[in-house]
Amino acid sequence: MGGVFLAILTVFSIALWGYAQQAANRSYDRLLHGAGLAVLERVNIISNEITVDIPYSSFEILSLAPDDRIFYRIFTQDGRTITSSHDLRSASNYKPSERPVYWDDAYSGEPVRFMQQARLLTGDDQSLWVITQIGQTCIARHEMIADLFWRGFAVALFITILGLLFVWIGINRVLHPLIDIEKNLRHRDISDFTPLAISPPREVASLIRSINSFISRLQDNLDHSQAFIADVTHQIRTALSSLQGHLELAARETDESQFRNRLDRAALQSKQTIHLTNQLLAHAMVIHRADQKIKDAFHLAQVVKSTLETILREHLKSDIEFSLFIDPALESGKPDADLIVGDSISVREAIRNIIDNAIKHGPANNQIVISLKAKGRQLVLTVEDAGPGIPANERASVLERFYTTARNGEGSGLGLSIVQEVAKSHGARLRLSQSSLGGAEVALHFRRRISNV
Amino acid sequence: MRVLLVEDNQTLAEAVVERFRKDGHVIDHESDGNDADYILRHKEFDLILLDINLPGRSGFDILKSVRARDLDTPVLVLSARSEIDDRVIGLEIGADDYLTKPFDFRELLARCRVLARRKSGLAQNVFRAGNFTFDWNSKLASIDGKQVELRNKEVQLLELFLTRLDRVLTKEEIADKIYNFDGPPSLNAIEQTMTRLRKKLDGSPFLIKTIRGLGYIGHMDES
Repeated sequence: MGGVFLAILTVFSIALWGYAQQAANRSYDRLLHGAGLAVLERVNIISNEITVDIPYSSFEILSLAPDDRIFYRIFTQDGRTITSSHDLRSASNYKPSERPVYWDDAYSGEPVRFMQQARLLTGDDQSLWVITQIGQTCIARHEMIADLFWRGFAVALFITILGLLFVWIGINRVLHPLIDIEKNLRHRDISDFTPLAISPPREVASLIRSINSFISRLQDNLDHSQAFIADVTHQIRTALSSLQGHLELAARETDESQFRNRLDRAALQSKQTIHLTNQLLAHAMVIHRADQKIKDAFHLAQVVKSTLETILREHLKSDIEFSLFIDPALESGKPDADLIVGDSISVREAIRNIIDNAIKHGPANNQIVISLKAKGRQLVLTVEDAGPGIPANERASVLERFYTTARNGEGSGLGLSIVQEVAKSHGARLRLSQSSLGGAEVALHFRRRISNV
Repeated sequence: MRVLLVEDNQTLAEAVVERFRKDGHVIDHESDGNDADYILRHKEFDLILLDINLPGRSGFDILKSVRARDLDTPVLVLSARSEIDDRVIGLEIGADDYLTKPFDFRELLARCRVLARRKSGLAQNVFRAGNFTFDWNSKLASIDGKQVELRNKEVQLLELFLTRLDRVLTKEEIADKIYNFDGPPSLNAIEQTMTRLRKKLDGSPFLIKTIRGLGYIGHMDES
């Protein structure tokens, strides 16, 4: 910033110098002009004889510059000198005129300002121009220039310093709250979420508001995480105490059939705990992978098929009737027809959870229809079943963590919230509705990665 | 069945060993990767149960060196990771199947039976599962010792399923493998053969599951 001020000051000084020079010249030129006029008034022509009676008073006017020397020469237009103090050189290309001309020259080793003007004298039988040339050294002029310049410069410098002072005070005033914010944030405890006090000036207030909004979002996020950890702790501890309870009862049981019964319940509890743990880990995995922002292109139809195959292996003995419908446009269309962008492992987890839900909540002879259709720029994956479905008033709740419609303690309440997370990280839409088969219909609308549909 | 279990968790290993011995199998246990690799160079097994995270040498490395020696011993990977599903099986790593921990012991035994049969069942002359037998040479199937009359196409279909138990067979794959002399069959023809085979083998542990839009899975229900 100092550099800019210096540049501005330089430009200003140059302009000021020019102005001072002009002003000094104008003043002193006027004096030269006055002296010239006084001399020319005393030039007469009498019977073709030119006489000059130089009035010394006419030079008095020039004595306003006491240290300067004066030179003069009076001559006719044909170059004949009438009278002179020194042998002066006339202006070059001079055409006699009553208007004065001025120029700078050097004479006897000093800078001299010259003025030259003429008067037309008319005699008995002729008229001719008599020219007077007056020169004055420049000491007074230069003094005046310097005087004007330095006064002007002093004012400019004063204003500049004053300006800088105001800027400095202003910046300090504006930055002071920022320094406060910096101190506050640096010494702040990580668990302290109190908002910063909003203080003027206005420019800083909006920054503080942004920081406060960030602090509050951070707090929300942390609250959610803490709530999640608390929930997880509760779920796992409860499941494990229940398992431990069944095992302890079994250990003390003396009756053979009661013993078997206790063990069976412990086994069931262990199975549920394993499921819960797996679901918690899957939930953590999809969130973690979403944070990594994996963006690979993959074939959705293939992922659907291989996921279904894996699930089928676990339900080979069941009476559930599975069917898969893949849009012929995807099956035999262009090779990139079923491409989407994202993380295939998370999408597999989502599909798996949707189908697992359909299996878990449905009857033994359930009907599960999985379909993948192309709809313009979207790929719609639908899983329908003939189970009890999700009541309309519970459709929003089932997406929440640990909310389950299963009343027998078998659901972890995480399945659809895993699906929801995957949908979110893939920019996909998750829709729950009623299937024509009687049960739930879960649809995921993915964005296709396709150049031209 | 001679089984090698490579697992560094002692408690889990003890439980698996006890369960397999109760079922009458011979099972060896190694908990160190290098020891397991050494024993695999000197002894033959029908099946390897392989953990991945091992001290000494990782399960993947053991698997690689086994496959590098052209051993086709079936390998079932016991993994605690759930994200590796697809890569484990097939060419990339060379395992035949995997189970994610914690697993159900009945499921583990069922998978092991399927894998062992894939090798020994095909090598022996007669395939046995519960009350069901199939003679690979004479192409004769029987339930409870009673012979089942099977047509040529039904035999081909049965053979295909027995070699690919617990795997999805698409209609296209079936059409490709079975009807190669008669030209392309209608999907109806396959469906009809399937229905007849199902009916004739009713009462045996052999099941054919249909997944409309995907294909069929053959399974031996021996629980």
